[in-house]
Amino acid sequence: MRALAGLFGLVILPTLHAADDYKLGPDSERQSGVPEGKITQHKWTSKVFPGTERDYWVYVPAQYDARAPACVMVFQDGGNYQNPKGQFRVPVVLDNLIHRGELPVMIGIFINPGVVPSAAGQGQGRSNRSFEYDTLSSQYVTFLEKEILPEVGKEYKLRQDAPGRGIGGISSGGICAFTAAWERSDLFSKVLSHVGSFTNIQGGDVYPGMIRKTERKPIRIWLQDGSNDLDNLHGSWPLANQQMAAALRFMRYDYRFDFGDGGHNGKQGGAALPDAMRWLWRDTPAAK
Amino acid sequence: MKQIPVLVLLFVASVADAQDMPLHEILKPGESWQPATTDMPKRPADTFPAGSLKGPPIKEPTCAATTLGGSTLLMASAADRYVWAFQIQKDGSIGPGDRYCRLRVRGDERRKRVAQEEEYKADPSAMIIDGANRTYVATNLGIQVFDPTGRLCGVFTAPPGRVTELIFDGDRLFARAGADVYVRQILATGAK
Repeated sequence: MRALAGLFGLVILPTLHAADDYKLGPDSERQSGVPEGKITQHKWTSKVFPGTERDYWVYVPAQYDARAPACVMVFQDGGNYQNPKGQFRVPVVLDNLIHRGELPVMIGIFINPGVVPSAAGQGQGRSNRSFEYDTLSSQYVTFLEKEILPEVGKEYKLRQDAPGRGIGGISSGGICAFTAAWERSDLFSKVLSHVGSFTNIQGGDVYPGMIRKTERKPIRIWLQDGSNDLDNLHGSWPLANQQMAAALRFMRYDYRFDFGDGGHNGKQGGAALPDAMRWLWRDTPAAK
Repeated sequence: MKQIPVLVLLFVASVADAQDMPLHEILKPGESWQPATTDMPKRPADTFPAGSLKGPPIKEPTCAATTLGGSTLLMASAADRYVWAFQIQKDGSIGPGDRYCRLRVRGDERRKRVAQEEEYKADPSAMIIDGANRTYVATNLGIQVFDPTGRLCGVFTAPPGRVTELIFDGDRLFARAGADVYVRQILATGAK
């Protein structure tokens, strides 16, 4: 079994437990003596995605010093990731890990997907989430490059180099993170994918084949999925993520495949988030 | 950067709201297109053909529909493989828009030999919205169905000929192709 697991680059969980029984560890809880970062909420109307409106949040750690550019980690479905009582609790994890020197000083940008509201005041607005996240194109990363990063950069000094920038998300937000780095590895070097939708929602099932026949890009990837993830009209999430992991292994990417027994949620990914962040951000070079 | 007060509005993860709408929830087993014995029903009042628009916002518009409630105009183009979505303004004019539903095209089926100019064109020729806010688009590969967030639910067989009109009457979907009218009973129902 271990040999088989090794074949796919699996990470064998050290303990036996009931399916999807993942618990947050102390790194995801508030610890006394650890200074808390500051979170602010903002609104954005986009031109890259015409007519869309969205909320986003900016986390700034207590250790931020305006004299030195801070690393940047962007999260899709940001409201979910920034929630200090949610499945991920990114601000709490960042507070703890930055305080202990296990992560570089890092600003978190948590962005919700766009919605085109109903101008006429009747009917539902149009959710732009699938178009923004599932489409294989550079449009989303262009939105980050041209709109959000410069806007946050007006107030905080951000790293401008790919080694100082990462991006992550769950489900369609996971494939979105990969697409952003795949399209623009000059902007993002670290990808965190939780139960990523590498399935045929908008053609994203082609990535394993593309990865195998494309010169390796300077991207580091933490890929998490569970055997109880979705199997629906778009595809099988567990099989798709195994195909991704196999392709990344074949092309000798710097990747980790955290494959457990979780479902289509953030439990497994949330429990492993501190490890994922430490792994992704290890050996981060100083800003050039 | 415009700051607004931090409201703890917990974002409901869209992963829990997957809105999966597979074809087996739309198509009725054993049913297929039959020649209609009645005329086409009238098109609902909140949808309209592209020809009624002044200054369509895309090249070569071929068919259009409004989503339930009238917030969004969906419009297909002969020039690309997308159904575009535009915000409908309070005064009824057309606001900002973008590509939204990515139509399946013959070029996706790479083993088939097709003329280069047809490879990435779906020839969308008719459109209708159902009561669950799904979009049905008649194309050269069949009727393509999209969920309310623009994701392809699937493609089902179209009646013979190029479909120029799609209309629901309850759980019956009517299609006009040339001089012929066809009908097919499905599990979905039209907008009320």
